[in-house]
Amino acid sequence: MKTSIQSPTVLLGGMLLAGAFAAPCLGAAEAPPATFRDVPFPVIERFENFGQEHGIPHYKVHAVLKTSDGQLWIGTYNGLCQRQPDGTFKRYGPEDGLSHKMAMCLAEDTATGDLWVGTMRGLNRVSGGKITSYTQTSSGLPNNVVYGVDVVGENVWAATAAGTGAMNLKTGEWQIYDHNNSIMHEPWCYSVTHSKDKIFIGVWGGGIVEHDPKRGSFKEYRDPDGDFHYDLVPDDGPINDITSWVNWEDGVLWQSTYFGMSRYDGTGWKTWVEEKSPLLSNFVNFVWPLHRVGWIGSDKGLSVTDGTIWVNYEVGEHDEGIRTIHRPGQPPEVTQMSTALANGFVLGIYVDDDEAWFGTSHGLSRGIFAPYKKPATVAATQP
Amino acid sequence: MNARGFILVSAAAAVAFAGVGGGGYFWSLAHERHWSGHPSLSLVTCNHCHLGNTDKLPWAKPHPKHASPAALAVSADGKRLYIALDELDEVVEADTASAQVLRRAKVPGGPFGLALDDAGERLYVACRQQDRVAVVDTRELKELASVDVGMAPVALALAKSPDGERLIVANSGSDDASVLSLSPLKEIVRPATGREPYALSVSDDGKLAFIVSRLAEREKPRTSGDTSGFPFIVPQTADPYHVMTPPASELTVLFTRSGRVFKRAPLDSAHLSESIASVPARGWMLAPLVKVRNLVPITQVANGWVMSAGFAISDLMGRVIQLPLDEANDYFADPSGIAVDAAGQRAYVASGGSDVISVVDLGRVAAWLVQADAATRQSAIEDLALSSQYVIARVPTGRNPRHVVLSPDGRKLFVSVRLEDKVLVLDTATLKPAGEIALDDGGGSDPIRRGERVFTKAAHTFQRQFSCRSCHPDAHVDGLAYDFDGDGIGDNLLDNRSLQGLAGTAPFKWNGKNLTLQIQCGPRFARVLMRTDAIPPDDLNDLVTYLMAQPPPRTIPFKRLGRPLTPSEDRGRKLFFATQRPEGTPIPRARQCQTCHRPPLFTNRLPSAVGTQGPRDSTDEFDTPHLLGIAASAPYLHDGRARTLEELWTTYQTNDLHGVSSYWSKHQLNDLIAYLKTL
Amino acid sequence: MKTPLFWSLAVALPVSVAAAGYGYVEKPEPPAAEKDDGCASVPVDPALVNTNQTTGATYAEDEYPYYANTPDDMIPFRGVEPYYRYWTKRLPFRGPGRDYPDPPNLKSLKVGLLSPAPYGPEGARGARTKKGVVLAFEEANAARRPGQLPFEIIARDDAPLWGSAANIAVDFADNEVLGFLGTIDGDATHVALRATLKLETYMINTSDPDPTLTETQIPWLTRVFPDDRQQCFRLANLIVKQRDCKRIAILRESSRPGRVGVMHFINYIRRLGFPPVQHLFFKPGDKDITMQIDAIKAAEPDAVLFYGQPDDCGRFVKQLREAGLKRAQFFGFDRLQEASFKENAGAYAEGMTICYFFNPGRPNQVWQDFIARFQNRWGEKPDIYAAYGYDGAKLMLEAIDHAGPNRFRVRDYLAGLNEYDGVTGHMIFDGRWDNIVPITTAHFKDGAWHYDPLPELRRKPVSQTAQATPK
Repeated sequence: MKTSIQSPTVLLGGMLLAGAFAAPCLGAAEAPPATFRDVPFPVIERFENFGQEHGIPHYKVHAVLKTSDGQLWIGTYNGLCQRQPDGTFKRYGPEDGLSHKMAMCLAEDTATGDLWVGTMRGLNRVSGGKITSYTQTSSGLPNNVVYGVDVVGENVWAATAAGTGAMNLKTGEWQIYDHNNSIMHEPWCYSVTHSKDKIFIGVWGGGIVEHDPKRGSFKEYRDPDGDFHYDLVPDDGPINDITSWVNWEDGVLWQSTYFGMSRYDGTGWKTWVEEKSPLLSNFVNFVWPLHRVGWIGSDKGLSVTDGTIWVNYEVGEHDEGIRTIHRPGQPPEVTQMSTALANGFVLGIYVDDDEAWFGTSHGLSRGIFAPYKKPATVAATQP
Repeated sequence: MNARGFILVSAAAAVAFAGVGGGGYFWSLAHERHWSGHPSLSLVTCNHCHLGNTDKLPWAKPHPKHASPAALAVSADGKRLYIALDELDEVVEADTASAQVLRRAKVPGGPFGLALDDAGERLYVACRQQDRVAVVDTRELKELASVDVGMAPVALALAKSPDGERLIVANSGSDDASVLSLSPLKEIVRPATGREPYALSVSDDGKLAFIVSRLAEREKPRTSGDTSGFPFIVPQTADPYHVMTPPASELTVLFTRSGRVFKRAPLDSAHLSESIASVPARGWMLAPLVKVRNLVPITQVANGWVMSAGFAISDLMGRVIQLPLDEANDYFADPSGIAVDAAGQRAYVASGGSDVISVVDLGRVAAWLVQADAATRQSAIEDLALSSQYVIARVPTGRNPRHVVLSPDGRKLFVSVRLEDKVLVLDTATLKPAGEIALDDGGGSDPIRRGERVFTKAAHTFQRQFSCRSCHPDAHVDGLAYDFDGDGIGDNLLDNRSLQGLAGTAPFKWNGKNLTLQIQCGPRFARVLMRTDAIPPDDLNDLVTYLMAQPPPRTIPFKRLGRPLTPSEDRGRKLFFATQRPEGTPIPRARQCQTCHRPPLFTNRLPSAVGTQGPRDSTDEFDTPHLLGIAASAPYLHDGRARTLEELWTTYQTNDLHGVSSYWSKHQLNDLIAYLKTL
Repeated sequence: MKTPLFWSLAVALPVSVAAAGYGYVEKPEPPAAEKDDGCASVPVDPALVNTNQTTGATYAEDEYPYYANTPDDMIPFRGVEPYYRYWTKRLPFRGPGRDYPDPPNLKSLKVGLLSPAPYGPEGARGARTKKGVVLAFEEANAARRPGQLPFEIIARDDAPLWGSAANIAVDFADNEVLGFLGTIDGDATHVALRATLKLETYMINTSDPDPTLTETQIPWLTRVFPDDRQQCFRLANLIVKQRDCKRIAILRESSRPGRVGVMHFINYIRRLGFPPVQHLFFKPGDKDITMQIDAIKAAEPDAVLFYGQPDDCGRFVKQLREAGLKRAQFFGFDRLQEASFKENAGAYAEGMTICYFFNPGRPNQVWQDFIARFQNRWGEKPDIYAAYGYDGAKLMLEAIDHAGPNRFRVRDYLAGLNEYDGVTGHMIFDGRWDNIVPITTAHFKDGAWHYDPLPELRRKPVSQTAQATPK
């Protein structure tokens, strides 16, 4: 006797998908400017793409970050780049002191203006035009392969292939967290982020580890199914233990995996998988939250959602852009865009109230928003 | 007892004595060999291992303290001069007109740097030994408040801009700067600086702070980053110091309001910047420096190319050029202090090693800059003939002028003559002495003080190129390695070792061949380094007395002194003293940390082979350094190849010869290093 | 005793395999039969049967419903239709790169080889793997025609600490390898695999038995080495369903390989209704496990499963028997086949049953030829590690030959394979690129291991099957 498990959320998702599978209404080749009043987050009107002709030294752009002084930085397969006023990119590589050419992740210390760069061989501080590197052989960094970095108070955190390390920027002391001294199931860390008082570590095979630095305590969020074959029940916890990225913003924790997406808002979990939700692909590389909206980079394009409405951006067969808006109970609204993401394999995202940037496997993209009403409270971005 | 009996008894006694003596001899040999793990025992005495404690070492004993004036600050009306006396824990107020001391106030913690507010009501004091800034009410001359900052603050400056007031503090011990708000008095942010930030100055608009660092980043291979590939391709045979980049110290530029870093400008091949002054009229910052050429053979002393004094000019964007202070055949070592008049016409640079004030005509400097092309400007520091175009006078002072400050009207220059316990007052119009403020008797009867005078005196070297202090600021390290070999090849660098905490650690030199400091600093030095006559015997004895009185450097924040070890440090301690691996297999005695680095000095004073022989080293045995204050004396190993402590057991560990580390997790290595930093 | 269930499953096997997704309709042609060594055995293992009745789904040709070939009655949450089912299709790599120009000025076609640290038992196994890999490279290079670039091995030894395998993977990328091979240790392979995903360099694993390795959803990995999951359900089936054991104790190494090695066995026997009565650990090299022995004896097991290095397990088999545990049957994993097990277990090795990949003495011509070539090159017989190392290397070289010096096309070639014929036999890759070919069991009898015949293979090599065909 087989039992089918269906939660109310599933039913809701089913209704949503019923709409998705209904005949989509294809928009004009280039839609007129729209305000998308019912979409509670900015909708991208067009993309501007940047590649090697703009000085980006490699196809692959792993990470993108606009720092609080307005500078745009990207981490590529072949160096760290800073966008110049003329729109070109200036490269910093090993010859400039970067510990390895592959820049994987970026974080800003907003107190000092320093940029921290994780590479495939060490952690780097870019400060005042100078690069200082920290490696596992020359410092307390747990491992040279740094997938994620974050600055929390007076500590810089690095998620590495052999644990997460925290360096106190005042004392230079390192603390390592791994399976030996924390609840961490495996030591293979992919990302690290923070809330006001907690650290969240995305662990490959270990779900999400929450650390309270004041108490020194740990807590973990794991896929309750306990088996990777299935997602037995939706919305019951992290979709999977193989966390590819974790990010926190405004009380909401987002987890991306190669098995789908999860979100925890402090009271309950919500999970999304392809085919059963508008999520473009289960293979999600990155998530960037802003105003409780998740900007989700997968191997198949970009998904943006507040949990109810979804807007997907894909690259068509002829490199055209395809934007699909999924509204509950309505057929998807598909619009062909004359511009598209540089590539559908999205690796890194930065979004603020003015624009969005995407690092892809084949170039950098800037998303230009259609007119929309900006949130009332816009954080100061200048030092 | 008859004769026969006497003979028998004597014979028996002789046999017993011989037995005991011989047995004792062989027992002691075996004992030494067993515990030292060292096959060659000719140097070993009981004291090598059984030094009970450090209480009787010269640096642990009380010794005379002197006024030793450090920083100076003049009130806005020019009437009051404040003097920091770090050795005495005092701040002195003097009347500039009469050159008399008016009041003294106790400010514990080694007051070293001073900053006075515009109203002259608050004196901010950097207390080097207690990692704090004290606020002194100048009306009462009494400490009002205190705020903790980074380690070993030595200089501070007020920044007043339309955005608000800030106090910026250079923390020489923690390589950072504290940015403080004044109301409330608290630290806002602590950005990293270069190594050992030592002085700072604020731009005229109060928006930017320029911080110079005393030490350079160590020279490194041209291919940057972690090139070793540890742990899978440890380059055991690689030459760790081929094709080095020259060292560079850092000029750090901060936004004063936010404390964010605007720029880190390298001062190429330069270090030992101990002061910086703003030239508002020209939009410059001026910082004295020592141009160091440690990568060329030290034999070049005779050719005048190892180090020379100069100064950096930075614009407000942090773009830097360097100009010489020295002359082709006369050097003005250890440029320590600088002051610039309000009009930007003259700069006064104190040369602590040469006991002179060099007067620089900034107008001529500006004129030269205008006519020189970019290439000429960039290479100007190499042209020792150039200084004659703008250095208009060399004014003698007393021994070891360190800090200088001008009266607001620019007519008086106050010079802290540190090793004569006085402040010299110079008339800037005549460049003649206009008086002096005596703070103590000069300490001439104290051999330690006399020794420090020898230590800081450049006259002992050929053409007065440098003093002992030029490489050993505060008798510590400059963080560089030098080429001492006379082969002229430019390899076989030797790491500069700290002179702090030296007592009880003989022999000296990396090969351990100098049994005493008299040998180390005497004729051999004259031949290799100074290239002139050896230091006279009496001076040499004073010098040794001074060196032996230098305690190990402090590497722990003041507020943590005396506290128990943290869990991590304690785990590191256990690792340091481990005699077996976790699974119970013994660690060979010769490879236990404590065997060679035996407490309390953490050296057994014997040469050891720990797998660090370089491709052109003639031996694999090197003197075992003591570990007191080891955290503050990077780089490490005899040739300074290890830039951090971690590299000792990663990049430069060979077959577990330098301690058995192959079983360590990264946790354990971090624990061990945490422990070493407490020594 | 052959139960009705056995017979029904035995009959169902060909049906199920044919329905399993490859769409082969021809009557299967089994490979040449191997001689039964006379040992008690079960010629067809019901554990291989998968009827897909659980899912009730029908699958298209590109679907892979038989993840890891897990038998129906050992599948988690059987009888429940999950909200979402993974690995029914192979994950595509949707990134760019296939049309990127070839690297300029190539002098060789580089392949990385990540070996375990060169000491200890894993070091010895890694050294044997390396010999197999080197032989494959030497043969391939000898067969190169004029103008063809030679293959080159970029060899690196792992270090057991600090996640060095990740650094090595980066080093491979810095050396511009077109793919890499390795390694034994599950930790190291996981770490390297994570880096591989970012570096986009294909990995062929030749010796890591960690079942979780391929569960990470990384489309840059093929494993030619049958993993511990295969052994787990074989052993679970053997112990519970064929030997009728109900009180099963587990004594395993306290390590990550130990933990994940028996993880699925525990799940399987629990799902069969008989969770372990004891699950105890030992540290590698432990001499005294009195406490564990006492606990096992107190549990009165009828079966004990050992997981660990063969010398440790051999010692503990002896100690358990000498402590009076006479009745329980002893089982183990493949490594107990190594000599140090029987050396330490002595006479108590008799009656031991383990899983093993195939009979190393089998008369198969391909296998025998390989043994001859290997012996000629290295002066010794190849073991399982050398053989899978050889196969992995051949497969990688074949992919490079086929795809040219482009990592993405190499990936596509390897990730597109369903089957491959190597010296170790026929391989079948599932939806996670795991080799799920049936493996066998072995019994220690009269001082030697006796191998059961391989269960009949009901699949036929098809056109997609890779063959060493030099261009």
